[in-house]
Amino acid sequence: MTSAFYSCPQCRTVRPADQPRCPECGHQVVGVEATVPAGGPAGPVAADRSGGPQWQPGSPREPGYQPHPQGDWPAGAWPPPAADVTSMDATSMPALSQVLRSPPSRRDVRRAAAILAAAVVAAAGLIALNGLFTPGRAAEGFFAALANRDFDGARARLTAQPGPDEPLLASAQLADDGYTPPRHARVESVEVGDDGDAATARVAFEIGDSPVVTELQLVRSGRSWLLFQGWRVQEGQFAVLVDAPNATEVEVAGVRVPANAAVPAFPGSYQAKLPDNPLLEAAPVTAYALGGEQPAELEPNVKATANEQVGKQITDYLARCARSTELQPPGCPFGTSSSDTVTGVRWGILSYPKSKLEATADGIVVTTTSSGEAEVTGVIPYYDGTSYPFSDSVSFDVDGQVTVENGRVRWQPGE
Amino acid sequence: MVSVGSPGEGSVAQQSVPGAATPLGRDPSPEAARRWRFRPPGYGSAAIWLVSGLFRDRRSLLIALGAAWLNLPLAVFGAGVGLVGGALGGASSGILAGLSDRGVIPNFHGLFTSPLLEVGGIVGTVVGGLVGLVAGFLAGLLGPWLALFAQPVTALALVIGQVVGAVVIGLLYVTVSVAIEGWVLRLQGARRMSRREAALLTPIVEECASRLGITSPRVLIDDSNQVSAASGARHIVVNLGLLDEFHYDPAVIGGVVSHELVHWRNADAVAHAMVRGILLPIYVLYLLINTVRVRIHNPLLVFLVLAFTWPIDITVRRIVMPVQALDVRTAEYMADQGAVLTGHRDGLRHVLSWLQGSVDGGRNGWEQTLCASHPPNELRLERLEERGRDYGLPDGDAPPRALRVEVVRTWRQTR
Repeated sequence: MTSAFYSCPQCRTVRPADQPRCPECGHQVVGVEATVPAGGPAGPVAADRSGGPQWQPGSPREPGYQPHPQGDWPAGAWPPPAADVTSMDATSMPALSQVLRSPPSRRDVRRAAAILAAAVVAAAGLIALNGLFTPGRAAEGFFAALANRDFDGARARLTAQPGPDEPLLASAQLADDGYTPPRHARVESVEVGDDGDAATARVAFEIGDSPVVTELQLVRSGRSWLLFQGWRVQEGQFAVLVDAPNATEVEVAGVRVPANAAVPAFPGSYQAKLPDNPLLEAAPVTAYALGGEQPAELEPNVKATANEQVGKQITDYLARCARSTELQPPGCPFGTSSSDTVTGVRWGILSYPKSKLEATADGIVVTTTSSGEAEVTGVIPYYDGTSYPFSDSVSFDVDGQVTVENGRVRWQPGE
Repeated sequence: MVSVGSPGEGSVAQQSVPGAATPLGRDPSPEAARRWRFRPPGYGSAAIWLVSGLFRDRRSLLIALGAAWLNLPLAVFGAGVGLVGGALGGASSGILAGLSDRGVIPNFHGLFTSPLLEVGGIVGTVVGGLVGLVAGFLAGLLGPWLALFAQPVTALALVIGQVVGAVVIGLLYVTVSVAIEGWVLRLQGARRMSRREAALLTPIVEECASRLGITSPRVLIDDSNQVSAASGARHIVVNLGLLDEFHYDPAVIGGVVSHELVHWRNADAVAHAMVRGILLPIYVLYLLINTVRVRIHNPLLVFLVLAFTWPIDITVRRIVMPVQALDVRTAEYMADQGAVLTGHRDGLRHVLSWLQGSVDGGRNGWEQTLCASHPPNELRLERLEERGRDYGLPDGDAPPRALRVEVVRTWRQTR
């Protein structure tokens, strides 16, 4: 506790704080504190400007006291209201409006509430609209377009417009019954990549009566209305692959596409068959474009008519060979040789070979199952003008490749 | 019961009062006060009163919004890191350039000879620090939003949501603060007036309110010996120290009460609560940090806490508080003018003269100047001067001040 001294307000004599009366002039001080409070020295002399003790409410009045016209306070203690000084210099008297602030009006509050509400509605609207631009919504829109066979709509949702080498994406012939679009598609989950620009949607749908689940890759597309960024389906993730040995083309849902090659397609199932062909035929198969390699296999068979045509061409070919007058008919499957000069050569087919058409890795080939036999006769002349007969018989096979040229089966003898 | 009279003809009560009808439908009866829960007049409804803080100090609201909801602490963190990093980088670059020029270190084919690097370590430090400060601040402020650049709707919705959320939390904070103000004040030591205190104070309060043309709030007494009074949203608290110090001088009480009445009528407490409410997320953290700094005496623990939370500390103390203090000090000047309007200019001058310096204490350092809640008393006194009256020094309104002396020798020792 700090000991403190005060100066007398009347004579400035220093006195101890605990003495209520000045030892020098006898000045009575009211409310003396013995210690200095933490907030600063207590000044007991504040109200004692008149030099004497001040009247306290409730205490008896001094003799001769006259009530103040404005109250029961001692004269001078209660100042006049400001109204009495309004005639003073205006600069020293603030206007009431400079002291009391204008509260907000109901209109202000309503306007602020409206702005807040509008902000909330705008935020909710933005979020709702943004929901239309999610990967899931893009996937749903893509499958919905397919289900409706709206191929223009489906193409518009792809990352790039299909080129000429993508006939299954570019052709409106996909409206053919040979294409079965996915139906009842629903997005089960969406996973957006770390960079936020790619997403994978897991989509379940039905093709015919078969339930299918596949993953759809999507990427961000450009902005719409400055704020919204849509998604598109990554092109090329679905393809039809039809393996058809010895066929260069297959017909998928009415569209000719290269055989044995993955062709970008919309997801779904496709009827695949061989195009009309004089050589081969195959039972139609169903090809699926569901992501990943799922080849459909066509098993081409040589048409019976092609066999007949090839047999006739072989017969004609052998007949031409038989007409040869040489021991080694050029381009023919049979021939013989002699150290002597043989004249009057004549060939005859004793038996025709038995052959068949086979589909091999090299194409449709003719292979011999039973050799034929040819006979050659002639004359060997001597220097003395005599001659003696020449004859021989040889067995031979027939082979070669069968192709289709200008819509006709053509057999080409082997070398 | 002491009567203090009523305002005469042409009193300020009959001036136009913003937001209130003349004479404001004033009904000073306790029943009326209770009915209105001590809400100041002029506010169309309790809702308007509670939201009035939104219309008051927009500058502080914006700063609080940025501080608590829009990455300002992160920007401060970025600025701090950028400042240190940039300064170190600039210093090392400048020093290396200098060493290189002197041939102390190899120049690496002119690597250190660019004009920027040749300016030396000090300039390099300053330039690097400034660049780092600005770049780090911008990176911290805008970085999170730039990260959402690819998702503008999300960013926009986030901004709107945060602003709306801040306003809602601010309003809730204000509502709760106002609702429990009485309890809080009682927990802090305030109590109702005793009979004789009410007999003294109530007429003064009602008279001052009448002269301002407003109703009266509830008056509480704080037994603290600190010389001050305070105003809340629904209460005025007068410290016993103030009454004692000035010996219940009605002029002084009238001046202080008028000051506090203006605070109450202007809903200053509501406005400040709104700023605190919007600032709430980091205000709570700041209070915790401050508690650790003041109460915990373990330097290592204080260092660790500040090492992780300095951006919040700086944001609140160096950015938010100075900005809010601008409005707070303006409110103080306005409240002082309330005493002028009620005719208690001298009473308030008396108190301010006694207090000296500032209510906040000495005016030096950051918090005593930029964060001070009250203007310097001398400037307040200047604005309270009446035109045409001489206010020379020493101040005639200033009470005689106790002279502090120190006892070095007793009377007995002297003899």
